[in-house]
Amino acid sequence: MINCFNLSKWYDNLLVLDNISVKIKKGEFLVILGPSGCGKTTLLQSIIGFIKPNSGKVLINGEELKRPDRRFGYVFQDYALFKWKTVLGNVMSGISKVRNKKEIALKIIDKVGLLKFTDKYPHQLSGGMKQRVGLARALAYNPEILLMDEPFGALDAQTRKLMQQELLRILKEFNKTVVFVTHSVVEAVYLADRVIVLSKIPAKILLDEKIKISGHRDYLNKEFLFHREKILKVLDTQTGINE
Amino acid sequence: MGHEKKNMNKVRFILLLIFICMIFSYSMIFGVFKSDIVVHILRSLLRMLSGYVLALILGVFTAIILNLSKYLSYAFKPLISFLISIPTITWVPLLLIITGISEKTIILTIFLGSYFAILYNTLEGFENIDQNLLKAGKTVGYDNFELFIKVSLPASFNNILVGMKLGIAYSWRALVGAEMLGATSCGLGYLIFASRKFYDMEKMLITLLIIGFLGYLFNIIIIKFIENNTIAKWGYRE
Repeated sequence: MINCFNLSKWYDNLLVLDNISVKIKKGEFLVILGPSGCGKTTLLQSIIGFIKPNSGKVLINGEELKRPDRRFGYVFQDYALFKWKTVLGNVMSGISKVRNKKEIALKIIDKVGLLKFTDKYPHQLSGGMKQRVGLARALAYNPEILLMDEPFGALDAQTRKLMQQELLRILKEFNKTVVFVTHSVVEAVYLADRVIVLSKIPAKILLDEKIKISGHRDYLNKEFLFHREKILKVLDTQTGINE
Repeated sequence: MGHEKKNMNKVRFILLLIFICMIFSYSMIFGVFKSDIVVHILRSLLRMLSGYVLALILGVFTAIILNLSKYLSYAFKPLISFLISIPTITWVPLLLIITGISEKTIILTIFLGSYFAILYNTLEGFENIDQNLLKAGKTVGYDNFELFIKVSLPASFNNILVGMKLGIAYSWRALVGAEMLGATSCGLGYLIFASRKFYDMEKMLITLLIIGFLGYLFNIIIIKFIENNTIAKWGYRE
């Protein structure tokens, strides 16, 4: 479905992405993991076309992308909600030309559990609620691919855990391809079907790991711990400040 | 807190009311004004309105044009900033020569008073838009026009309003100044200046108070109203 082909990106003389190739299958939940500042966001933004890579290309269903389009939903770390719109207005912004937009929007708002806050403005919501709106806005126009850029990075630990569970619950009802960026190993193993670990810049793929956990994903599950250890070991080689 | 604020607002309002009543009862009793004061007030307000609305429309429009290229706005900003620093009233003698003693001169003065302030601040607003908001706009499928109307304008409204606020203050001062400098034989500024010849200090003082009061009303009625229905509601200042 998404095919990244020898992507390289540099800013001035700083090489950020070094010849990265990833194939992402339809319906897959892929987590991109890596030390902070390693180019995870750059990779994600190259997929949607916010950033043009200096070499290589991204193919979506075999076609090259011209500009960001509505096959993508994007969830931002800082929410990037339209502050001048209510929750309903935000969720409807992607479907303004659809006839029963209000109906669709309310359904999604209900799914993310914000039905009581439909007419509130973003500044009246907590961080977790804002990100629910961000997710609802991205899901409202029913994109095939959901890109999430450290969506829970700004939340406190408890809210974060809750939001992870909620994300899986909500996504169960939509069959989406998800690319999720984070630097939390636990979050990655908890959410992913597959994890790729990037090195510090220039970013290369260090590990491409399928996460197989039978039964419930519990932080103390044996297989969970196994995956976590394995990824941590790889990441440990990447600590230290990059020169 | 909410309750206290409500009471405070009542007190503020009553104080203002007493003050206004004092002005007007005084001017009634001593017959300072004939009914022609209304004509003077309306004339000044009309001039203010035409000059200001023109400046608002053209100011925002120019900002849009300059914002098309970041080099353009980068190049022009110091110039605009320089033009803001010129006290508007200093244009009047020049304009009097160019456009003559006419309404045009006064309206042009008002225009110059707010145009640069509105332009500068709107430009500043456009430049400081959170890039992620524009990206979010693109992902939900906005085209360039929609991005401007539905994202850029509301996202920079805080700055636009600052420009509008400054503009109103500058323009009002400029208007009175232009009327005083002899561009007309009507209006509040003229009234003060004409009273000087007759040593009519009461009339001068009261006209002065009316000018202040009207300027205050602009702020309360227009700016506060817009503010409460936009950026205050959207939580831009927390």
